[in-house]
Amino acid sequence: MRPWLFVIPVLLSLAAAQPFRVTDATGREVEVRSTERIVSVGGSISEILDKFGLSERIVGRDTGSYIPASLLKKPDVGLFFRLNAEAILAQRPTLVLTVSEAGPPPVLAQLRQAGVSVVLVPDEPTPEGVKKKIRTIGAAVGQPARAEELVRALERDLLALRSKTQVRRGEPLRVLYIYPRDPRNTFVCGEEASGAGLITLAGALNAVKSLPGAGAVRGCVNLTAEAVVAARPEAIVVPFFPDQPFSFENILRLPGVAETPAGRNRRIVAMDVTYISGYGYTAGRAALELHQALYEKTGPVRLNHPAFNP
Amino acid sequence: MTPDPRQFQRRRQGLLLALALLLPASLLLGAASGAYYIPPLEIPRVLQQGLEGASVLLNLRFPRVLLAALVGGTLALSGAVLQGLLRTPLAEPGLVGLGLGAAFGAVLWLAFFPLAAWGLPLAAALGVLGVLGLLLRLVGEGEQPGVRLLLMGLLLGSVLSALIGFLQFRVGDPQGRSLTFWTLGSLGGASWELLALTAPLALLSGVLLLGQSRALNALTLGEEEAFHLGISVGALRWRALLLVALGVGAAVGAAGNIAFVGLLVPWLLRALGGADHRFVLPAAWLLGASLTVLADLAARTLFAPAELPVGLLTTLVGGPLFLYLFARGGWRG
Repeated sequence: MRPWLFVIPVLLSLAAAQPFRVTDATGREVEVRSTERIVSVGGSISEILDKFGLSERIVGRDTGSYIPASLLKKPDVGLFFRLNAEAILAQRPTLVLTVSEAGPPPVLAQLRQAGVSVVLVPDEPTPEGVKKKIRTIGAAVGQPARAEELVRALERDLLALRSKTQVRRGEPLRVLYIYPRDPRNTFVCGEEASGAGLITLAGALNAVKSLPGAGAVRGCVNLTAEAVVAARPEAIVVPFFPDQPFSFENILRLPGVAETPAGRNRRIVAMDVTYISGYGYTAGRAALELHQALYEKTGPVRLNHPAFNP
Repeated sequence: MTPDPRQFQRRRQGLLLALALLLPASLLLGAASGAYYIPPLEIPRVLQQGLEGASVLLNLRFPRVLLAALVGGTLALSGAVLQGLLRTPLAEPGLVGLGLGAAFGAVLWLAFFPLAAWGLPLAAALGVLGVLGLLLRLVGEGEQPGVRLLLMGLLLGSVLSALIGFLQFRVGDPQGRSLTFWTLGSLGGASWELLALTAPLALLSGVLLLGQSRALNALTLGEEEAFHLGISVGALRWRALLLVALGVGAAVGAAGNIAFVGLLVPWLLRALGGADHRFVLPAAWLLGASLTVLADLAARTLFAPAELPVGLLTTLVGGPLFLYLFARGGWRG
């Protein structure tokens, strides 16, 4: 063997160690010098990193990152909107990837000052937003080719969904999105909210898109019980948190729900919270499964994340 | 200035009569309006023929209006009794830590049994009893027990709200966020079941408290004078505080802390009709019930289809009003 051949692996590793450049959600150009130690803030970011084969390099995660399940053993740096710079720096990260709403902003500035590459990943709740998210993460960790593979898989799922939504006849189903946080309040989201956005994508109608005499619901509100009935939902979609108890009965007991067609027929689809509102690489499949649950099944349905079965 | 007693008596009767008419009027108004629009004059027909909307009226609106009345009446009556008992016009369930005790009991219950909402009113009543027992031990037999109780109640209240915050932090999201309900109050969860769970405790406490008006009148003359009138002050205090605990526990357990009803209502009534408990207590129940029904009507219709926590409204209206009255110096009623 010729001695100069040893140069090739050295050159390759040098090429891999080159800093990656990425434009993040705020338009800021970020230089990523090393992807050795990653703190991942956002469930969808963590699951995409896992698809890139990088879950071993995640040294810290936010509370909402539980896919793959091996992350549960790694340090939890808190809720994405209530981050603490010291808890993150304690993991000695070289790269912090966060969803764009992560904060508070001063904490992100503190991380940058400490010399950590911070990439705010775009997080729009649309298929285009998912593609942007996958590509941004791919660029940040130097795997643009793997990112394109994931984007193509997403497009296949969306195509399968479209073939179903386009042949379906009749009025779209009226669906109420409830975020369960208090047994005394029916907390409902309009279609701009990330979890509720999947309902529209799945070919159904958000039941609070327009309410008689009251207009549309923007964002999420405590809907008064009578307005829940006035929305006339035929089905209810609700996220569940794998680490917390969930029961369909408690959804049926929320103010107003029992008086709706959905409540009377027990038409409730409960979906893993990352699966329904994360908008990760599984968003297309999630919308497809939601479509099937809404239009092809009856009674209560529970949809787990394909990569997380508790 | 001493008003002619007979004239004053007539005035009280007039006020009681007006309040007795105000309550059914507010109940009707509350029952006639809501986010689910049904023309008010159509309501009898909708109910009779079981038309669309009948189930909204029967299962959502009617129990809610009744619960609002029950909770408001109970809170105002409890406030009036506390003020008479402690002889300080600032005593209010919310101020002496009882409301937060109720909330703490309920929050503790939620932390351990997040899915068993049926236990909330009882757990809340136990929370009030716990706070009350602790307070009475702490206050002891020193001078000015009323003032001491008020101050210690305030301190205990802030410890309790910190404890609630701590539990909130430990229980975490999303259950954690839900706990703000207890500090702001809402009647949004009203149902016949909740009413059935709340009414026995609240009504029992209410009826028995109304029977204490003569003893409370005697107490306003002073503890010694009350003793000479044949009132056992110690027993009266225990009995009344226990009944207040039951009522406040049931009310807060059902609807969270609806602030200022227990403070403002008795205060207004004393300003209008004097301090005789035979007048103040029943009048407080009636006025507290009516005002809470109306406040809740605003909470569920002002920003429909969204709803405001009713405690937010009562504080926004009641707080500044009370400050104004208080600053004008008429705090003795």
